[in-house]
Amino acid sequence: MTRATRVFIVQNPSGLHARPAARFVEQARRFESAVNVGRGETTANGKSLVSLLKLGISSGARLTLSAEGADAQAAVDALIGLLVELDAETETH
Amino acid sequence: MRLGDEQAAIFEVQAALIEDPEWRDPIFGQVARGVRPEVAVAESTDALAAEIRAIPDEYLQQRAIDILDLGQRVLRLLGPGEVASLADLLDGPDVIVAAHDLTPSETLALEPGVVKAIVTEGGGRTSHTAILARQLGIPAVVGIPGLLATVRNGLVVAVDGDEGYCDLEPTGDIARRFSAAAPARDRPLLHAPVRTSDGVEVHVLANAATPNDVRRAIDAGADGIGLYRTEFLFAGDELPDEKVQESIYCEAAAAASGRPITFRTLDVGGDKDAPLLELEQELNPFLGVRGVRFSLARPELFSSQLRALTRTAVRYPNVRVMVPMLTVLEELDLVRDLAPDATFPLGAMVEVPAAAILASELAKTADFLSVGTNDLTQYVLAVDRTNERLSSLYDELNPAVVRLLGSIAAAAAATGTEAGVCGELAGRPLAAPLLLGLGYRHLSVVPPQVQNVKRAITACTLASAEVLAGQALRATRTVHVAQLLQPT
Repeated sequence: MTRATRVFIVQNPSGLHARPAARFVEQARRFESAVNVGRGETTANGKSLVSLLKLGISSGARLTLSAEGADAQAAVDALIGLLVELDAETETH
Repeated sequence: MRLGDEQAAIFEVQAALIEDPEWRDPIFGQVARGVRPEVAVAESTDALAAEIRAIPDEYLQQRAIDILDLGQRVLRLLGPGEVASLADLLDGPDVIVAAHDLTPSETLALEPGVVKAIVTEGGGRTSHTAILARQLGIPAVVGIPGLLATVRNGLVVAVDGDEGYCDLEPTGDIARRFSAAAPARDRPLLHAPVRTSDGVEVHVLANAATPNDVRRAIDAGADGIGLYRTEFLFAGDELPDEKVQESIYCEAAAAASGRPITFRTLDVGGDKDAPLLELEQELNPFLGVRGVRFSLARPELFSSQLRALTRTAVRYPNVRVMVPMLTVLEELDLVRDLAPDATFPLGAMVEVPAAAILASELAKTADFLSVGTNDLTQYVLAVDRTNERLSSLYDELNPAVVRLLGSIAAAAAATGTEAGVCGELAGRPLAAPLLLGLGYRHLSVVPPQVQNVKRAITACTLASAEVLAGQALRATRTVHVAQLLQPT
């Protein structure tokens, strides 16, 4: 059992909205490890879209991404990569 | 491109949601504890949507809609459409069916002797469930919020369809009253057309969908059949050919025993599906290919129905035919062209505001007019009558509807054309004086209301009905019209 943690600050002016969050969740579910996303005092289940949405991730939010399990490091690396990619996308809504 | 993109976004979100542990796990947990799946899905969905709405971010609050939509889609899959047959569920002598809502075909599959009542969470007074249940004489109460969360198999339920009253697990006086309730009031049946106390004759006819309905209606004292719905012939597992249609129409016409029987030609579309006719999916079916529009788009099907009716009318001169959902005068011409040998009187249903506005011209072309107040009301008020959230806005007593009813009757009277009413409004005994005062002399109602409407007519005078109608025509609010109708 390994544990991996990284911090990510959301830059996108729209924050992390439903569609990018859905893609994040989809990616997180591919890993065996439990994935958590912390913001301040609150922690969300990274495999639950609802849980992530309830964090209300707005621009500037400081997220602590952590994974625990056999593929924890791979999960965190992949998800940080995705967050960077999503953060660069312009939301259309 | 943009639309496709947005739709893709919605489905990406829903695809993520359906496997979401926060949504799914409580549902599985509840079902494991014996909660009915529909209830578990509805509750879990509502709870989550409420949480999302509480997020202090306007955009994210909107995602509650995605969750609700997903919940509704799952609920539809869990709905009664998946049940093989309601008849299979009906064991035991006295059954009350509780459902979110029943489709017309599900309602018609119920056996009035076995099913004592229907209660539904969805639907309004004019939903097809309510209409057809009334037709079958099954007491029904619809639009009961929270019903499915409370009701369970084996529960004793008291239902009073007349009063719209439903009590789960009644006790004491109420239980005694319901066990003792006599099904029929022992007053003599009024056969033959009745007269107001100042001597004006009024025909109270009945609505029917099968030859059996016709027999029941005539037994109940109806002066004929003002609306025979032919679409249910087409809703079964097999399309009836011309011969089959003719034999059923003849059976119905014979059952009317010489009294007039008005067949309405095929009326599908809107909320009435007929799987075998392969109706196109439409964005807005109530404004789509329904009623005569559908029939004219299928001339072979329509011609064969008209031929079957033509032959029926040769044998039974009491047969009349009317056409639903007419919008323009040309449609009636086209129907006549398709039935060149027809000897039956051909009437026009007035349901579309355009037809109501052109009632004078329609009255000159058609042999009679029949106002379908349900559709006319929903089109005049732009309210989907199956939308529970708008049920307070849907009201046949809306002054705009009343005035239109008045002008249709006046237009028909000016040309000496018979005008009748065959919607729900006609079956409300309290509304009978209003319709009478507006000029209607033919009311077609559900069989269980025939006697009540007849009694309401014998109890009033035309003079008082005309005063009442005059006041109703000047009213500006629905509540005022409703107050005018209250018994004094």
